[in-house]
Amino acid sequence: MRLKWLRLALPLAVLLALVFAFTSCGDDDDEGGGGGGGGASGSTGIPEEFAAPTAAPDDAQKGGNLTLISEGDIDYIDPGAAYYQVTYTIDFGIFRQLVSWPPDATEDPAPDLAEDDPEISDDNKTITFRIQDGISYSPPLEDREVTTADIKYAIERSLMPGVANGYTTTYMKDIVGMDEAIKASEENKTVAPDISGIETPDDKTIVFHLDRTSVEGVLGALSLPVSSPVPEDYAKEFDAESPSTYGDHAVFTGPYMIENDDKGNLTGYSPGKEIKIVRNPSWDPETDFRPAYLDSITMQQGFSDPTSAAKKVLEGSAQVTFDFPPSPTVIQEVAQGGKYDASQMSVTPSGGNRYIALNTQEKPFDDINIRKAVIAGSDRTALRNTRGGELIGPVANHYIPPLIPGFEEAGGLEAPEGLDYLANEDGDPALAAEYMKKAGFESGKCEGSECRITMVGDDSPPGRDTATVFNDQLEQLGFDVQFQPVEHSLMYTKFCSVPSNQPDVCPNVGFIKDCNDPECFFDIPWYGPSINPDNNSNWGRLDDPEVNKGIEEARLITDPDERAQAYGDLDKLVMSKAAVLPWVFDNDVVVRSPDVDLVINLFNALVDISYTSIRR
Amino acid sequence: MASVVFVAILIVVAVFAPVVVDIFGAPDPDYRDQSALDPLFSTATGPSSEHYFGVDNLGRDVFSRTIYGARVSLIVAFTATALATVAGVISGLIAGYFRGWIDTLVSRSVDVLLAIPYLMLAIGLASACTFTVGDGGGGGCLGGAIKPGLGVVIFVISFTSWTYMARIIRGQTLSLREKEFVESARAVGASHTRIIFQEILPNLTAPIIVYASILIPQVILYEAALSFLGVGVVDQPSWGQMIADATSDFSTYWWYMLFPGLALLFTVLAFNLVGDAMQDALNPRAKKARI
Amino acid sequence: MTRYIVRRVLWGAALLVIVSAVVFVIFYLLPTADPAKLRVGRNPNPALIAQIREQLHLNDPVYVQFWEYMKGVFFHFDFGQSYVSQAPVREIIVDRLPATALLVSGAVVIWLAMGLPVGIVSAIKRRSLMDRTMMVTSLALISAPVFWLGLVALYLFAEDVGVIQIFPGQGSYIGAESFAAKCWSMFLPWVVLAAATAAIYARYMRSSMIETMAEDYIRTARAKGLRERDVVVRHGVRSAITPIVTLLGLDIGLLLAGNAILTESVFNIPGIGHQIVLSIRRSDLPMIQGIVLFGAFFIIIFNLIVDIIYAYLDPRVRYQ
Repeated sequence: MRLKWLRLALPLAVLLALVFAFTSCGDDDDEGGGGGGGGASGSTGIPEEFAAPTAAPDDAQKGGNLTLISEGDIDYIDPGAAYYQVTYTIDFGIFRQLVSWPPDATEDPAPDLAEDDPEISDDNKTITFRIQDGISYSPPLEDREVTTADIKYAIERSLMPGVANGYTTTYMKDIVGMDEAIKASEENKTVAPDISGIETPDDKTIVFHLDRTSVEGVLGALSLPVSSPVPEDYAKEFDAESPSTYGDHAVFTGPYMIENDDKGNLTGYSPGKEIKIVRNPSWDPETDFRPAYLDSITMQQGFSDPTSAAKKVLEGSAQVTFDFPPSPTVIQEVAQGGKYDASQMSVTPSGGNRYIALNTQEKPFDDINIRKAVIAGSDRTALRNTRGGELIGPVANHYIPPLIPGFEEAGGLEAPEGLDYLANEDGDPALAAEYMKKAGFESGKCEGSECRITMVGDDSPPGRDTATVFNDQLEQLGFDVQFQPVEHSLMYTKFCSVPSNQPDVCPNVGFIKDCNDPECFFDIPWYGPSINPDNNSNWGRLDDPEVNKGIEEARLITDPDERAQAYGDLDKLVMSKAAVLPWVFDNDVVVRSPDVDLVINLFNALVDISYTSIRR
Repeated sequence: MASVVFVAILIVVAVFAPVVVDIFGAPDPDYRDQSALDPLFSTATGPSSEHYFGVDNLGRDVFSRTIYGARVSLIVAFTATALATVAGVISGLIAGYFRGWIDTLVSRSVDVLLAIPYLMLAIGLASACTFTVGDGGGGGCLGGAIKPGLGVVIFVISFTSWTYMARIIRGQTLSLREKEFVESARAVGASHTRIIFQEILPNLTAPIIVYASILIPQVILYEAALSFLGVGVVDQPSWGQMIADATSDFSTYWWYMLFPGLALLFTVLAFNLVGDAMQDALNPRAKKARI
Repeated sequence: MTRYIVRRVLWGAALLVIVSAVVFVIFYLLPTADPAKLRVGRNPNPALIAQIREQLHLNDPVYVQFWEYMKGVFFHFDFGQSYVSQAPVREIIVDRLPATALLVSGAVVIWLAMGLPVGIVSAIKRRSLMDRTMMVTSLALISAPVFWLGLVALYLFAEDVGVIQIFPGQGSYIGAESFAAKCWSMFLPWVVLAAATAAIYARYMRSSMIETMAEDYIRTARAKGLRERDVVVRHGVRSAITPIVTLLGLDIGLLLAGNAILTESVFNIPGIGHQIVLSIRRSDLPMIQGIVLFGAFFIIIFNLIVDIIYAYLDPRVRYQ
């Protein structure tokens, strides 16, 4: 335990020192926002006054309805299919998992349905949980208690093509029998396969047998909605359809639930418009660490203008912004004080990064020197500035974001040693020209037909602005860019995530953690074999044997320090391949109405509905 | 009239945009001046001695972009109007003159086109024609003949506006062909071509000019609307696009909402006044009435 | 008369089918993400994708798909499901319609109430200072892009961000609960949408009045000694207003069909226009087809009503 603290404290101190050096180099402008000087909080460079509150006040009041002001919708209600951080915000209030994340937990999840921390065998290949007694489902199954068989079924059904969970097969692949189960699910599409490595010796015990020692990955995945119990006999008929319709009839275990009728049909969900969440009468507060102050939560969707929506929240009552940051002008207004109180805004590292992917499988970016030239020549500060100033996040010089183990080891806020093309955040035109010459272009700029490249990016700000700026930077290096702006999700589903249709440059991609372990940052976007012909997240299309081997080895390390070091080294390795151009470690910015006692859950850097309360 | 002078100046400014911008000492419209952005929040600054109309959120000078925006508006206005007029006149003429199945064909096509909400059609067509095909493809419609950007916008606007002229010319042709001079030409044995080009068309000149000049300002607004919605001209500075950029922050960044808007207002107003004047001059019916 | 109506209705129905076919083809060219892939989760399984493609008839030739679609529409009133949210298209359209309907109705009332009197008065007091001012003002209103007018109105008067903070601003319709609150949130959109149209109607009314008042029967009425006011209102306006009725019908049809796109976008009103922009950006084919069909329906219906009224008023038209 104490070693863990030291491990945090040391890099924290280093970071603090760096941050102070950083901010004291800034201008002494009196006009400038309250950001700069005052006590920077911890390792994130975020000023104290905007630090995320992670605990409810002692005099938190029960009752009231909180409105979440949102632009888009959640992806799925079905906990087996859900995969967005934004969806998790809702899910953490309505579904309980074996282990879960209290708002201030940054390392390991806390037992939720489980009675206690899991028992891990000495060889690190068996994980045993006991779950609590007396936890029942929401109406209409209020007479039914949760058993471990329900958790086993939940994980098994996630393999079914009709549910198609996006991370089970990655993070849980070392569970014994997983491969057989995956094969079985492809053959029989209407029944969930059996995973032999998950045992339920009795109703309250569940044992995971692993082939290899990737305990961290499995635990991380178990903290996500996939391990929310699903009663098999109730869900079977819905899961037999494809896609599964369980999402329209889900039953809940959290302090809250989505409104439904007495047959179990969800009435509180209008897609694209609104979600009505109310208290779950079956929830027993004795079994849960959540206080659940609010009586109800409404998620209102469709607010496409971040300025007016943020102002509506700032001036209104009982509202918070949900899935979008306020625009830079609003951030400036709040930070500078006056009309709004600075405490109405909180800034938290999102645990994600943003980068520009260069297609390493096609000319011209199959040449590493050209890629290095592009990275060296790009003014990444300007790219970051298209989303806002420093409060929106520090310029990224490598891959793993702050607060994730491996961040420090990879270089922290600086670039990894030896990678000269990442050394200058504002760009280094001379170095870029040198790399171009190495690639064979005498003039230091691209010449010839291979310089015609395609780029598909966001069609609305700020993504489009980032793409526009990068477009300029590419043209300065002699490229002839054909830029096509498309709608955000279409950009992924039609172009950037479809290898057969992928353009040369995808400027608006990025990755956000699946869990707090660095494994959740590498397996999906960097592992060669995980390149998927329909929904690929390895946008650089890197399939490098060195990297693949590194990933395979790192997941099995159990000592936390060694693990952090291994992933830090992996980060440097991946950056040395110059497949992507990292430009920011995102912060999530949330604003609240004056009467909301906001609590942010550090896991997904968004509002925690089970801890937030309203001051009436 | 003042509006004719204004239009003339506008045309000059549009054609010589780079020179005009130089004279005033303003930077290139695509140049991003980082120093004009707030150092901490990266927010834009307003009118100043360096940037007369302020900068946008990427640091680009609003004044030069407004000047260059005139180019897009005028090019689209004149080209699309010309195309729509030509297509409309031809179809209206042959429909009105030959009648029968040609007329049915043209009129029914017009009906179908008019039944589809034109903005939706325009947005849909513009989106469809803008996609690149795979990686490295050129995109565009009709086998790449119509390129994304100006090309697509002009095509889409012409395609949805020719109906306006067609209906009017058809009506005029229908009544003209019954007139005596046409009857006598036919009696003398003149060919259809001769009658169309030498008897009817000259009499259509007045309405063509009038309605074309009414069409121009509508086309300017149409292009601005398409650019505002994000399917118009996006790779060059255009007034509609600039206003769209300003939509989320106009309450603070009033300058890049105001100046392109005023530019649009004055331009369209000027063309409307010119159109009005044309109508008064060439349309004898309006003069007769008196109270 | 009946034969005329029947002919027009038949043509209207035929038009609807033709329009659907045209739209189907045009938007078929729109590159969508494979809808089957959109439906499936994050870990797409090729077998499942193939199965869904089969279900959605995506492998069939265009005309088969069109036929299936038409059958669904005309026999079951089923417009398919949105590719993006999997909700039935019909449900989404019905959900979005009230906002657009409210926007259009309010605007119609305002533009008639403002445009017509201005037009009449300007016609009577022709060439006076007031006439000239009115006409120039209306020309200016017509010349301003409606989305810009919206932004200016918000800048000046919006509750949250304006210089003078009176009226509800962007996005206020979404949060409004009661009907009264909804109407209040529509105030600025109403005025903005009505402004340009009011100007057009004013000018139209003016020229229509001028023409009518020059007719012989007006002189006769005056000669008979009727009061000027009676002459103007009972004879002048009644005749002059006929072309306006036509225009009104067409305009309402167009607006309901979604031409309020610009106003809805600026004010963030979740109506049909806003929805179509969203759907086109996402290449959500069934939504696009559904909304355009819906819009075409309105346009055709209103055209029909106007034609019938006209035929009733002017017998010559019926015999064309």
